[in-house]
Amino acid sequence: MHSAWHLFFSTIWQILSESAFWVVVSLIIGGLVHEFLPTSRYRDRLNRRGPGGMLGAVLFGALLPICSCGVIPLAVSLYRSGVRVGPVMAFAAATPIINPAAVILSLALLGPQITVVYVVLGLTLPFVLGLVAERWGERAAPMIALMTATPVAADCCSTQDECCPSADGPDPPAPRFWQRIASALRWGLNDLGPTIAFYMAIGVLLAGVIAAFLPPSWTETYLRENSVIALAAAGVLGASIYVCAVAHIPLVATLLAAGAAPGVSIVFLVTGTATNLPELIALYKTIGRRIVTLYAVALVAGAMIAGAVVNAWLMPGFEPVFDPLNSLELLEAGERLQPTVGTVATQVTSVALVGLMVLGTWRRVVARVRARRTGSRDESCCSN
Amino acid sequence: MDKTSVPGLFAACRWVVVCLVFALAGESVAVDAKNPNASGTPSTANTPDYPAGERTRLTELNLLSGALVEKAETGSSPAHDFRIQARMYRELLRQLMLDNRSLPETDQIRPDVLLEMVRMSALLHSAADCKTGLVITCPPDLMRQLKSQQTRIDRVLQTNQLLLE
Repeated sequence: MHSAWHLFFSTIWQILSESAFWVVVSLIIGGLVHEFLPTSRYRDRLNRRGPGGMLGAVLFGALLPICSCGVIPLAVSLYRSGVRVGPVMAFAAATPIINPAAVILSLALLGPQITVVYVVLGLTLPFVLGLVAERWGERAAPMIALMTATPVAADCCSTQDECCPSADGPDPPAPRFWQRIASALRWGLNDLGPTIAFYMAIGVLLAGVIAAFLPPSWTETYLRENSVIALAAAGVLGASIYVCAVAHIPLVATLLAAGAAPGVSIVFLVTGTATNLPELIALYKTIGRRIVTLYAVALVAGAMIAGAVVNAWLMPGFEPVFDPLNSLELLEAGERLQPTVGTVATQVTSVALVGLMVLGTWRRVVARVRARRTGSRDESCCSN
Repeated sequence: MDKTSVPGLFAACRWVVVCLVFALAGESVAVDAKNPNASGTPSTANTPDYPAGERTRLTELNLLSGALVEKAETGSSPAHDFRIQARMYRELLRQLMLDNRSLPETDQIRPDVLLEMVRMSALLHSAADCKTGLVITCPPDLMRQLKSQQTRIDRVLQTNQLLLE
């Protein structure tokens, strides 16, 4: 039992310490996006119909070194700034799956064949996920209320002017640049932050429980097999756990060297980096249930199909053996590309994220109590 | 051919590591790298007769990675020291591979053996990034992979008779 508690807490700490910095940075950028994007011409570019906007979202996401937890605030703020759900989901998938450092590390440790598959899958799967979300999910997406400090009904129309047009009357004076910055930070850290942190907290606790009760040998046992069940197990497990691409690749490399099927490894790599329980729960609650369910199912199914193709191509007899000195040089290059976060920044942002989680939980409790007292439901005036 | 005569700072680093590793492992023996017969390891017809210098260096690297895995497992290893030693492992490995290239093809260490060590270097680098305050605390899955990778390196080196006894 001691071991289970240890696994539980160490998993929670791992997720917090690895993601906190990027979540906080993403909240700040998300606030700026929410403030400035609606009045910018870039929103129209992102909202272009057809594959152009989706492709741009995928390529932009593929350049950012942000993990699957860090991308949540950015995705939600893009969505709430009026960007279509297709490009948003494509961006949310592409950002954690693939980035330049991860590609170089993959070349160093997984070899050229797996890397080609990884890059192709990392660029096409988010594109397909975006198309799926747009085709079958867009109309179902509600604008769910954020956990703001003030009651929803009073606050809604003062912070979300894009969904609640102001009443008749003279136009207020245009805010100054610094006022807009302050407004962006307030929205990102005070409105969006606690909302996302609350749902992340639920996901982080669930991830801790999974880590504590999942048998240690389970992963390796399934990854060694070459069957549909192994592909599905790797997909579901990968989609549940939290890993960053750069940290995940050495683990996948050792599993591959230990005899894991290449297809199963690629499924584990892609689903592991693309999403996790905290992200799925946060998006489920803030972007929409139907979209996120479609997203998760399409992600696992797409990765499984790709994994089956890779197994058929490379097995039997696949051995990840290549020039070791070249591999070491690439490894170094990949690690250099990955931005490192200092200890102090990690600790400060971890404390900030825990604070946002507590604040989000508190607001949630207060909203529930208030709703129960007044007999009204906890819904935004903007929900549709 | 004896490859222990690497000049300058790098050679000094190597001997610091050797001393450190043996001190950590509680060993009191010193490896005489200059004497090819010191190991007493017989070579078989199926495995190349690797130069003793190469075997010494592989043994040093193996001891160093084993000590680092043990340190990571304690959960109380100072992060700064761990990072330096993980870096040293990588530099020693790089030098070994560079020297290995200049050997005759029959004497060269097999690439799959070296690749296992490159993977270990990547895992040690990941471990060095896992800090809680000033100490290393590896997540459970990384710790599991570190241990299984160390076991695999032990096995590969023993199978290829690359370890000094």
